[in-house]
Order: sequence, then structure tokens, then C-alpha cells
Amino acid sequence: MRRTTWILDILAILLSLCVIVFLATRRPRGNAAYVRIQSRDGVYQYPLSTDRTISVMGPLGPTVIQIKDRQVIFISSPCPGQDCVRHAPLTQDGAFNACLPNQVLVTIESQGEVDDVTT
Amino acid sequence: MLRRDEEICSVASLCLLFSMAEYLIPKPLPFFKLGLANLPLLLILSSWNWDSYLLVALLKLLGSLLVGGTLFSPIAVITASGGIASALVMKGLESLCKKRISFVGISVMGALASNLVQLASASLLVYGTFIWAVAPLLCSIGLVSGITLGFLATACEKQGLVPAEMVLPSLAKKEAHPIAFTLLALAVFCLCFEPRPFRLFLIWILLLVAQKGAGKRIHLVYPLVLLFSLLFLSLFEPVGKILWSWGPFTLASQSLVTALRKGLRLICMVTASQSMVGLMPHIPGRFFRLLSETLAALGTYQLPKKGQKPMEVVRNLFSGTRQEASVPRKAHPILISVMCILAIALCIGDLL
Repeated sequence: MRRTTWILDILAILLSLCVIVFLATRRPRGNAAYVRIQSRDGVYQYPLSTDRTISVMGPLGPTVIQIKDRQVIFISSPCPGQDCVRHAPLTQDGAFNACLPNQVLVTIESQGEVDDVTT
Repeated sequence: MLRRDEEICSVASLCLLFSMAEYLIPKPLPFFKLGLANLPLLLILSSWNWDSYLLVALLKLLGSLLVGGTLFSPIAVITASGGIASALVMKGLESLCKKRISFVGISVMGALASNLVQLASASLLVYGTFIWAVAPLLCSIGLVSGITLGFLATACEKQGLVPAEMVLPSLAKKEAHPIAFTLLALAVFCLCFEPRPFRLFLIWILLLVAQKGAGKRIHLVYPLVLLFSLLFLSLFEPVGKILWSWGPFTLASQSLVTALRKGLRLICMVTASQSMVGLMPHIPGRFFRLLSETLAALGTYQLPKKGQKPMEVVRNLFSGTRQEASVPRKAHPILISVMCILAIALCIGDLL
């Protein structure tokens, strides 16, 4: 191999390394937030990005939770107070709502640590 | 001006031989390729023109999809996009830089192009955005194998190794089974109706029987690796009721079912594709004639003996020592057709 080919060869290798480092440091998903529902039934987890309606069973009956436009609300619940239904929609990471009589807890979480630096 | 048939088929069949040798090396995920098949391509890079080079690259690509049996599945698009990208990048670099870049640099860039394009198409077609999590590992392997291949190619060139021209073997008469082939294609199409996992599993068993009926040997490792790779990736994006959790891995009901559906559907397509390539009807034209001749030539290479040094193995392969091609196994079109009809019935059963 002539010495002059080393320049471009090294450049090629460096470019590959840059790509590798770039791919390794960027986050796999931008919207890693998910909705976590804990109930007597078990623990459920759904991405915040997809609209859906979920029904979970508690000791009093079914509680219906809706994920729509990246907001979480309680549609209905068999509790006497209905505080959970009147609660404002959940949008932020770390926000939570609960139907205590029916033992349902809903939180928004994201993968990895909750970072104070990134918003 | 295109090169002669003998030259084109020699190089293409050599590429296929190397890619088959690579197949035998165990890999964690199906797309971790070493790129040995690119060695003959590198060696003809400077001396062949664009037309002949691309023809060899296409023959190599189609040949490997036929031999691997994945031609009629989404895997084909992933592999093809990577192969075309790397072939274009390598020849493009050689044309632009001429002697100013060596095989090492060309091979590294080719590997990078192939990996990035394969990741992009894999994420679009099969795996979703999470496949990018393995991108750094994949590209690192590509970098190392690219450098290795570059040095290997340089050593070959120094030793004056050039793919030898060969006398093309006469093509054996292949039986045509158009009905079985069409029914298989129909079964692949019906898989779009997304049957439930248990049905998909039954369909897969039927297609495996059909594959046996097509005279193709069954290798379970590849489909199972594909299935498990999808299941494994689903552990990182749980959806639904959480069944089990350990560290970063979370098994959830809906994501499990979705992964099973996607995975089983994929391996059904791959299995059906295996049978289909064995029953392919004759297509006229120079390209397909060259393809048939390349595949026929592939069957005549002498396999390396134990204890031979790598350089000696390569030299033997390049020198063109040949042996008799093996006789293809007989196909049973009726068995295949019955299996396909049952599989199609299972697919559309929900709609009736």
C-alpha cells in the first residue's frame, strides 16, 4: 500500500467512528413517556403517544381511564366522591391521579431517571 | 461493454460461495454480517466498468436471497437495500478517489452504508425505531469487519489472485410447478390478514411441511433467531398488563402478543419463501439466465478440507477447482398445495 492512501483510509475509519458515537449517544426514542396504572388487577403500562381507553377492575367495579392527545383522564369510576373523574387531565412526567376507594393509581413516567436538567 | 457470461458468473458465484460460508458462522442477530461476500467485488472494483460491476452485485444479491430462501419476505428488502447501497458506495468511492484510497477505506465505507441502510429499512418494515439501539454495536462490527476485509483484499491483490474464469456447467432441466408456486404466493399474501398467534403457529407448521414437500432442507435456527429477536426487543417497550419485570426487561401482555404476531408472521413468510425459491418458474432474459448459471456454478465448488490455511482455501476457490454438482431433490406439488390451502383457510377463517 502506498503511503498516500492512508489519509483517506483514516478519514473513512474516523467517519465510521463518529457515526457510531453519534448513534450511541442519542436517545432511542424521543417520546419515552408512558402511563402506569396500578390496580388490584395488576400493573399496566401504555405509551402516552397512542390514544386508547383502558378499563381496570377494582373492589367497587370498573374504572375507565382514557389516554388521548397525550393527556390522561378518568372517564368513569364507581366511587361515591368522583374526585378522580373531576381531576384535571394528566400531562406531565411525574403527574398522578388516583381513585382511592377503587384502589386505582395512575401516573405518568418516563424511561430512565427523571432528569432535572432536561425538560 | 459488458463482460462475457463466463467472467460475470465466475465472480458472482464466488461471491455467493463466500456468503454461504459466512452463513455457517453463528451470529447473535440475523443482520450481523461480516461481508466476506464482498471480497470478489472489491477485487474487480478497479478493473471492471460500472455496468459489469453492478450486474455482478445484483446477481450476488438475488443469488443470496434465493439461496437463503428469503426472497419473498420483508427480509429481502432489508438485505437488498443494504447490498445496493454498499455496492454503489464502494464503486463510487473507487471512481472518485482512484488510487488515493485503499481497500480498507472502501470496505469500511461500504460496510457503514450497508449497515445504516439496513437499519433504516429494518426499522421501517419490521422492527420499529427501537432497532436503532443496536446500531452502535452493528456499526462497530461493520467497522472491524470492513478493516479486516480491506486487508484481506489487499493481500489477495498482492498475491495476484483474480477470480478465475470457469466453463459454465450445463443447466439441469428444472420441473416447473406453477400451481404450487401461486398457492404459496397467495398464502404469503393472506398473511396480511394478521391471524392470531396460535393460528400463525399452525400456519407455520403447515408451511414447514410444505417446505419439506418442496425438497428443501429445513433449518430451524434462522426463523427461530428472527422470532426471538423480535420477542427480545419487545421487552424494552412494554404495553399492557405487566407480567414480569427484571432490570431493563419488562414482559407485558399486549407487547408480547404483538411481538408474537409480528414474529410468527415474519417467519411464516420466510418459510414460505424458502419453498417458493425452490419452485420458481423459468423467467426469460439474459439476467435470469446468468442467475441460473451462477447458481449452477455455485454447486460445483470444492469445499475446503480440514487443516487448510485460509490463504490456501482462498487460492483453491479462486483457481477454479471443480466438482460435480449435486442433484436437486424432488418436489411434491400436491403436498405443498394442500398445505397452502389449509394455511390460507386458517388466515381468512376469521373473516368467514
